[in-house]
Amino acid sequence: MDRGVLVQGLSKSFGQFQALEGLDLTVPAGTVGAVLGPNGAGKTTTIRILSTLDTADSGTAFVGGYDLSTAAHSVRSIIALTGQYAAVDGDLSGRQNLVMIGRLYRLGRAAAQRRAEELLERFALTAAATRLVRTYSGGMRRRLDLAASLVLSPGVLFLDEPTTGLDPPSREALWNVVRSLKEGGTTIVLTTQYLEEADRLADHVTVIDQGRAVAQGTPAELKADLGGDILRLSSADARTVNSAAKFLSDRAAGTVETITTGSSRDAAVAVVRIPAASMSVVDAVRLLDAQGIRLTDIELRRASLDEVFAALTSHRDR
Amino acid sequence: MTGDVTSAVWTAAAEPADRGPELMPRLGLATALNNIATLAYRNLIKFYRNRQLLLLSVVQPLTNMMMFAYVFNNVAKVPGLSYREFVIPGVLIQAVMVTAMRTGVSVSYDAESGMNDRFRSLPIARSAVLVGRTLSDTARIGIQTIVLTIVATTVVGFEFRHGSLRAVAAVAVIVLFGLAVTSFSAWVGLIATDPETAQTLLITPVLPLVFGSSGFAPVSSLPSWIRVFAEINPVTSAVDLSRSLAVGGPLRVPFEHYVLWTGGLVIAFTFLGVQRYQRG
Repeated sequence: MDRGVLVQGLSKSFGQFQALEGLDLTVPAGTVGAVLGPNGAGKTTTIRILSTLDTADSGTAFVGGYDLSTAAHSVRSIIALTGQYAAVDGDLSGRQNLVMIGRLYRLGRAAAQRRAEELLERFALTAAATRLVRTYSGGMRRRLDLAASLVLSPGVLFLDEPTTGLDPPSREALWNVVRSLKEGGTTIVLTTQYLEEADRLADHVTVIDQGRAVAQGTPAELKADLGGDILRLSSADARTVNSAAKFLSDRAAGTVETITTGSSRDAAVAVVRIPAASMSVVDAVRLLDAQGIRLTDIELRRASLDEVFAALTSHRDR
Repeated sequence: MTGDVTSAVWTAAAEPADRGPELMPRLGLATALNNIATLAYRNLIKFYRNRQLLLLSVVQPLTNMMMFAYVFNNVAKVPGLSYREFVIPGVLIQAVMVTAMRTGVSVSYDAESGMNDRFRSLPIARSAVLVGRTLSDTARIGIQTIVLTIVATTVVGFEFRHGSLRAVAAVAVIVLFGLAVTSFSAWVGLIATDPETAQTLLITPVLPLVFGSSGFAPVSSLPSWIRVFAEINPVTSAVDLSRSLAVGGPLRVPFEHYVLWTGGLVIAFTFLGVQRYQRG
């Protein structure tokens, strides 16, 4: 069995609310997998189930080769979790927090102390080692939280929105930590709402929405396969724009994204998503001409990752 | 602020992992005891570092003791005993009940702050967080009870009439009853939605249990409908047994009640608590 993370058909509901609905997810051993989705898509539920904090209603999940439903303790022995909200004890010092975790891993007193010092040093917290964590800044807390996850270097590390609330330099630096952990052989599963984060860090991205995987692949594949091209059609007349959009999207096997009818002075605009390089501007103009449809403007460009994401997760009000 | 976030700081942390995945030893009694000790120690450090709470946990019950020993002196007539002596076990139990309320609040706070999530994702015994909590808080209760007992004997004039062995037993009865109440309190902390609710849920039964017992007036002097409640009240069993050990009185019946109540509460609520904790 693969040492990474393998999830099939995972479902979970909380009362009436279906948080996960047959989620599939694969993160091969030694890679970084990103779970990308809007708020409420099921990211945190996924992480909570994979880190044994919640149990799924149905479906199978293997973490590091262990079946979550039968070997939860073994899973716990190889994973570490750094949550969205730093779970470190505010009433203990930074050092006491790390020593406590080391002791819970059954390190001896001396070994736990030594490991705590190493990690405090490594995360530049030595000067604040004896201060109560309650007095730490947000960035310091987050560093301690990550340090706590590395007391015994985990085989699989779960990071639930690790950079939410961090300033850009700290975020960049955390990314470096993630990359180096991956080089050390750790499998990393991270959730994020930021495309840039997924793009920069992940070997593999799974976009989830409403508890399901709606797309997966490398960041480059996602951009190429799903991004496609965007046609922007304008005319003074809403009906003309409407029929042009329908006609072109049919021809190119695309979809009409939005049609906005402006006030009388402004032009009506349609946005049509078509497969990448399926049609040039010249083609579009010729096709419309043949139909006798005249527009004031036609624009064609590559979709951005943000647009891919928005298109995939468009029913986000929940 | 010292040691604040800079890019350099984070980048320094970006060295490769120095260990591969390690399998924990299988769970067994040794691991469980070790985990429990670590977590109990954590709670005690937190308590020790909180100087205000440390001081208050002694000052508050001392104030109570002085009130009942001097202000409410003679609330009830007790044959063969001054009220001052009569009320001391009741005052000690009251202090236990108030301190044990903090258990549920702390447990609820750990759940709310995400600390429990951290613990639950670690390869530790499932009972460790809860039992570590009830044991550390019972240790607190032990220290508190000993301090109060010393003040009671040296200042208030409370006298253990049946030797040091029974004196120790009388104190132990109070402290072990504390384990039962903290176990209940911890379970309430787990089912409560937040620390404030936990506190309210716990405060509700404390006053009737404390005052509807033999702690502050002999059960025979209570109105009949309260008497029924007082006779089955677990607090009465602990007060009666402790009082009999200290100043004399019947032992067998209070002992039986005490063992059933205290043992039953510890077992039932530890079991319920661990189950609830596991569910998250």
